[in-house]
Amino acid sequence: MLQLTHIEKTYKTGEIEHQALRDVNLAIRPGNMVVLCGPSGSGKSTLLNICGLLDQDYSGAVHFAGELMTRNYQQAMKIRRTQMGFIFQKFNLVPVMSAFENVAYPLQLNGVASAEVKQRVIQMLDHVGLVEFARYRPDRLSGGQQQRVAIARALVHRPKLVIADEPTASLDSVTAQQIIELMKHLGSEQKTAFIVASHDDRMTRRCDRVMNLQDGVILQEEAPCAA
Amino acid sequence: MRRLKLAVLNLLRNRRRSLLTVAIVSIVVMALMTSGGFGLYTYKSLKEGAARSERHLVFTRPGYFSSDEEYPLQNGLENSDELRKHLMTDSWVKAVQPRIYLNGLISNGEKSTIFLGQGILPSEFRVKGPFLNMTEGGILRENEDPNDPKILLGKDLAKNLNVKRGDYVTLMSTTVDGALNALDFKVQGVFATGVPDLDKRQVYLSINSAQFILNSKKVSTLHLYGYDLEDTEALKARLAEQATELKITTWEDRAFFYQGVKSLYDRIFGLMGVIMAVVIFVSLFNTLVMSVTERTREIGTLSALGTSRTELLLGFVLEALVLSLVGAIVGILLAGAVSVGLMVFDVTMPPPPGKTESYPLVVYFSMNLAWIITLAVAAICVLSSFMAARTGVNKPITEALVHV
Repeated sequence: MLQLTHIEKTYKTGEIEHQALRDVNLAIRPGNMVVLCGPSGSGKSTLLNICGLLDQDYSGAVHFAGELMTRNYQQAMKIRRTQMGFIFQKFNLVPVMSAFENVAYPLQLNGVASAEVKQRVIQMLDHVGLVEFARYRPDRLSGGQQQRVAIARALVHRPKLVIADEPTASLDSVTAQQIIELMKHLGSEQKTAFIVASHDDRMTRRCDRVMNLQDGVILQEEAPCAA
Repeated sequence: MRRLKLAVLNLLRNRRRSLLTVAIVSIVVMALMTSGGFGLYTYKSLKEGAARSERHLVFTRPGYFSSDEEYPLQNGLENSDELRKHLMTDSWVKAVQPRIYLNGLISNGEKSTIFLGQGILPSEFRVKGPFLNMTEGGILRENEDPNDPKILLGKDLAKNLNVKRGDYVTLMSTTVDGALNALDFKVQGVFATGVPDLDKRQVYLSINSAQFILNSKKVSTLHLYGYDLEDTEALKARLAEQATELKITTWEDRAFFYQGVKSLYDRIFGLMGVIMAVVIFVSLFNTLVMSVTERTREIGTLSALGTSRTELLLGFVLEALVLSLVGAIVGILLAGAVSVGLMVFDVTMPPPPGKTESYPLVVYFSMNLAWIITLAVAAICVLSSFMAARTGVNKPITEALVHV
């Protein structure tokens, strides 16, 4: 589904160049949950941005569903809108929108009819256990609840791929465990692939593949620890 | 509706800032509405004054206004009665009034001074309505006794000659043949124009008396009254064929003061409008730049979710439009209140230069002006919001997402 070939990425700060990714090759299959591990500065976020078609300034090629995405800005935006979801460490919910409106946003972007939007948002909020909080704005929700809303937003339009950047980093351990299970459950239910950047051991234990990055290179690909 | 609701909610995030921007827009709109309303009142007053003096059209011999006469009525109209009757047959014509302009000396028997006279048909007072501010006595009568001619004097002229209603004065002028002629008049009334130079010199007498003094049957001009000032050009075109040998001049061509004031006011209000536009632009630009900067991470998130730059820009433009429309509505309401307040409290302005009479301060409330100002403010808002939001929206998504 997602194919990265010979990806190289260099950051320039004045005269200083820093190579963040070196000859990265990666293939993500539908329904897979892949965790990117590695210390700070290893290139996790850079790789995640390229996988999520957020960064087009690299060398190499990225294909999504067989179509070349490299420097293809309009198509990348369309793919992000229709076939991708995003979960961020700081939740990144729109503060002036209610939980319902935040979850409804991707559907509205895709032009889904309002009756169907309502039905699918309620269903998704029910999945994440927040139906009764539908009218609440993010500032009235706990961190765990906000991340549930973010997961609902990422999955409501049934994307093929969800990009998650440290989704449990801002949560307590109990809530983090719940969020991981929720992602795993909804992902397998919808056949959605996940690429997750995480330091969380519980996440690596529940995924299908773990990739260790160091200095911009995928050092090894491991099977996860037993669930 | 969803976009509008979102725009309003975003504006309510920082209520004080939004309120301040609305206040600035509304003050600017109010200032433009009231100054524009005052300008419209001034234009209308001057237009009416000019049109009242000249009426819709003036019929003269060619060159009447451009060349000096060597003797009185040299460029006067002959057979004016026939032309007058002919013009009166047109259904668009309300009235046609002849006029003779003359000058000479006026005397009370002991003291003489220069006068500027207008010979008119007394029916002009009926046709025109009250156009003279009579301070003493009354207007000229249509059934005037030709053996006892009457005259109206400017108030300073009457004061200078020390005459009042019922007293007699003598007018002396040169006839069309170059001889000196004189006629005694009984003072029928005294008027004030508000212009000192006119009050010191001007007299009104009947056209028959003027023709007697000048020893001619000619008149200087024929003034044609239509029904609506807006029809002036159409009326001119309609009547052009009926008086091909005459020059037809519209009131607007003769309204030099009106044109001058309008030109001056247009420039003043135009400059004021530009300054106000800059104030609104800077104010909104500042508000929106702060708003965009604060919401950079949110812009990144929405872009990541697949929101196009156009949609993001549209959101900010909509916010600016909401601010401008709310500000415009408040400003228009305030201008309306000022307009009504001035009507209720009857505020007067000091006499303008060259005049002796104060005039009421009136500010017209014009919906046309309100629309124009609102559209202009909205256009400025769209421009400023576009410029303010462009930088934030064009920031790379990866940079926007890590913005602190």
